Amino acid sequence: MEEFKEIAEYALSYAQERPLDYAEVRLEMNNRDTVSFLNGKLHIGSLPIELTADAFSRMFGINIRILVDGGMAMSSTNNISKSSIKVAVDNAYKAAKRNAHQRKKPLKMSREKSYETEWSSNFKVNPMDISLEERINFLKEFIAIFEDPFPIQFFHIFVLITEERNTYFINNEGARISGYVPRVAFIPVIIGIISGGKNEQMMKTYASSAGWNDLLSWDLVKEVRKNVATLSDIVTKAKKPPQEELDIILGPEVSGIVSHENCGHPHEADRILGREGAQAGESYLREHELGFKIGNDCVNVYDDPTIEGSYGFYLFDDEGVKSRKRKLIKDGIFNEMLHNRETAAMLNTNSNGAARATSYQREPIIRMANTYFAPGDFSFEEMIEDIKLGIYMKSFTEWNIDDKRLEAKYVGQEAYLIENGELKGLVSKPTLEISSIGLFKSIDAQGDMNSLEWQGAFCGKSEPGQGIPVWTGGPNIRLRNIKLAGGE
Amino acid sequence: MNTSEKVETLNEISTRIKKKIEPICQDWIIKGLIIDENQIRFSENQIDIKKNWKDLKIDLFMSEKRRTLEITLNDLRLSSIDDTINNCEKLLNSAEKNRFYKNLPQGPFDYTDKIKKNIFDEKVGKLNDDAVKYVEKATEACFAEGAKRVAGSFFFGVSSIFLETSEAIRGEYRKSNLNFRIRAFAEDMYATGESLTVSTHLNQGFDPIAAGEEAGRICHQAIGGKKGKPGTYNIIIYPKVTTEIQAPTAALAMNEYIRKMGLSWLAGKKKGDKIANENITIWDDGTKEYGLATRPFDDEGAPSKKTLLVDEGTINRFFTNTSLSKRHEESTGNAGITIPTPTNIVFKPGDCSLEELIEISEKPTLLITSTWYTRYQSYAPPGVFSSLPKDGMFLVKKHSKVLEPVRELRINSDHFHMMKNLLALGKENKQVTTWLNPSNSTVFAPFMLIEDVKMTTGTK
Repeated sequence: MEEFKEIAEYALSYAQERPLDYAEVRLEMNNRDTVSFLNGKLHIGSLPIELTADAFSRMFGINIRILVDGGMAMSSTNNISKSSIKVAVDNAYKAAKRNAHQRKKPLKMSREKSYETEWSSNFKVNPMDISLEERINFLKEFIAIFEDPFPIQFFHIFVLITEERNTYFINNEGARISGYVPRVAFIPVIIGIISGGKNEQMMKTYASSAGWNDLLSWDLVKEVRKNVATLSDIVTKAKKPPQEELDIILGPEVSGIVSHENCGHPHEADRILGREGAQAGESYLREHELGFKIGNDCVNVYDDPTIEGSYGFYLFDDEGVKSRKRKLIKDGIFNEMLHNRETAAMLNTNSNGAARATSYQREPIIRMANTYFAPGDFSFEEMIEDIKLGIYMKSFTEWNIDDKRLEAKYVGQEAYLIENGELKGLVSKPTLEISSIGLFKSIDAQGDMNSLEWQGAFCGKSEPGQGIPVWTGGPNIRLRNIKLAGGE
Repeated sequence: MNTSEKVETLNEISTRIKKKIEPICQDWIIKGLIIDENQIRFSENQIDIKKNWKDLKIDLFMSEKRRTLEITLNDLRLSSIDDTINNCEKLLNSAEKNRFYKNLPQGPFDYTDKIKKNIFDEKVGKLNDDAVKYVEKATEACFAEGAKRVAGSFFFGVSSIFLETSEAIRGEYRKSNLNFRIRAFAEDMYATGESLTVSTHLNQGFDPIAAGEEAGRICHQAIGGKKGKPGTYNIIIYPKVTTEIQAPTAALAMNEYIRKMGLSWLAGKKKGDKIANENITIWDDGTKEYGLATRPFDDEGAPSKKTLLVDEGTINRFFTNTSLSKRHEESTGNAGITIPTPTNIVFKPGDCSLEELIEISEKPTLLITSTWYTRYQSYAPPGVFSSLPKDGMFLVKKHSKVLEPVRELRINSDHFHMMKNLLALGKENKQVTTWLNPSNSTVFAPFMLIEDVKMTTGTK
């Protein structure tokens, strides 16, 4: 990367030869290796469904974003010759100027401190340095799980993604920031089927920015073995859930996805201001001001890119703004949005460092990093003890939410009946179909630090799509007086 | 760098790669792409950003003793290419046999010029300021129908594709694409409408003004919508809804690789099995005029084809590449080398107008103009999913033309149910794509009337 920094400086310098409001240049390298086993057979290539495209990829290029008279444009290219970069800058400048004529409200960037610095995640062993043999051997350990006898048939996919992102960001305000994050993710996808066709599909993502050893330290073979056995029990033993009104405890995996979908997304300022209107949608919070009461007083949902080892880790965003923890819902109140410099300027505030891009080909847009329910002080025993009839939804399968982020559906996977304060047998696909407000106003207890857990995920947004690495997390949370949906 | 210089650069890189890989692998494919793509994104009636991508890209496939490797190279620094290829040799040595790989197709093939002509319009590459005018005109049309705010996206661009394989196959073609999507909003932020127009040619079915009008009309009709009642309805879906809830059966479940993996709701099904109502006939058509996914040849050089997938409700063929085709069958021309990819999924139209579909529906009926966020409980049979209506949704008042806007209902079904309960189809196909949809392909589909679909809503 070092030898190409000069090219970035050249691009910026060339852009500044003309009057403009703002210019930034991001030089970026992304390398990704994906190795997988499909039903026990090695596969080195792209994967179907939504797993991953471009399994082995090497990317290097430059992104130039220019703001002129309130109009914005972006050029990107992987041809890093000076002549190509001149064309890219000229194109961006001309298009920005043309867009300025069309806009009634000129775009601005919020005023932010400029940094000259370098940052990286903390890791001991870079996952990209692990040999193919070692990665294959890592995956083969999971295949062996299926040598155990089970009463059902399994289809299984194990995916190991190792990648690195190396960036050099500069702008016309003096920022010079080098960033480096290696990441690793392990994704098991398992379908359990019993004769007659009843089936259950499980997908998990274990992910880290703290290096290969971090992944190895999680004893994932034991974890997956347990999940496979549970999946078998779900298919063969789970009973229909009750239809009466009941209480629900959402386990960390489910509270994590709820924090992401029902809180993180609607708190993105670009949705609130309409910029994602034709893509990922807007937000029900468009109709509300900061200070709006979203949920009960015990509800606190945060997003924090600075968590060491997290999959969504970064110290500076892709607009050069220093990252920090964002308290999105504080004591049940709509407390803070996620901002980039564009939305911050529109609302006369400062960016809180939420601008992220997935490669040199993409513009930085507002993204979550690691979103989670803040722990409360309830042990699991305390949460369950006064529940007469309830469900403990430990994990989920199908889910979705409308584009205003108001109406969500979560179908439980590993879920247990609760009767008179005691955990009973497995129940099949209890379905929570509920509004965001209804959900947050039903929460009356959040589990303590001991129950806080994280899951990796790739969050999709924008157009062209940008699947960004994040963690979702939380402790157990308890919802009162819920009626399950009919579901399947 | 002009186009001929880019071609020259790509040729130099390809030659360099070929020299390095020929000694280390038996079968290889080098696919080069020159991309010049643009996007105008707009919201709140204003242009947010114009983007331009100028990239050269190499997709590389290598096989030695049936060990296979695919790699995407956007990093075209010579030192990086050399490092990557050196690493590929190690990877090939460390890999294991790919049980689904047999060989590459044997040429030579005659790629028809007709297909090439029908996918490239040189005017698209010269749009410049006219592109903004399309956005402005569509916005005006949308306002004229009653919208208060407009957002959308306009992709337009050209690309050149070059392919060479170890079987002495060489081919090249140019392609243009136009993909315009517009969403209308009323003051009531929950009243929205969306439409799109898609083509390869400016004068072949590409009509942003009509898209603007349709989005505005749906949005205006959706004002004042009330929460719908959960229950079982007949639904009439707009063409673009098929990308979410009908086309995945062809584009995803009829992929031979996915079927073999057990990730298809058609796993266990074979040619001759009845999976749908006899109203349904579907092709994968890589030769379709002006189709965004049309191409003269696939990623391993096999000529594109029109393949009958479902014939009056009965499976005819799963789509394949060369390796996944049975001994007596040719490839359907859908490589992806390891995993086949769909081209244009084409439904056979019926003979009804939208008004006639409304008229023949005997049960409470919902008109659904768009859906999103289709998610599966399992890809195994029967493919249980739910999908959320996103823009205007209307309860059809029986024997009247009044459409009552309703909201907050969710489709809960499975793909067998959707295919078997398709009562009737509209008489005209429209080319559609949508944002992050599960079929991940271009679709040519008409309106469809589907019987007895379960709709649910939130309980709190």
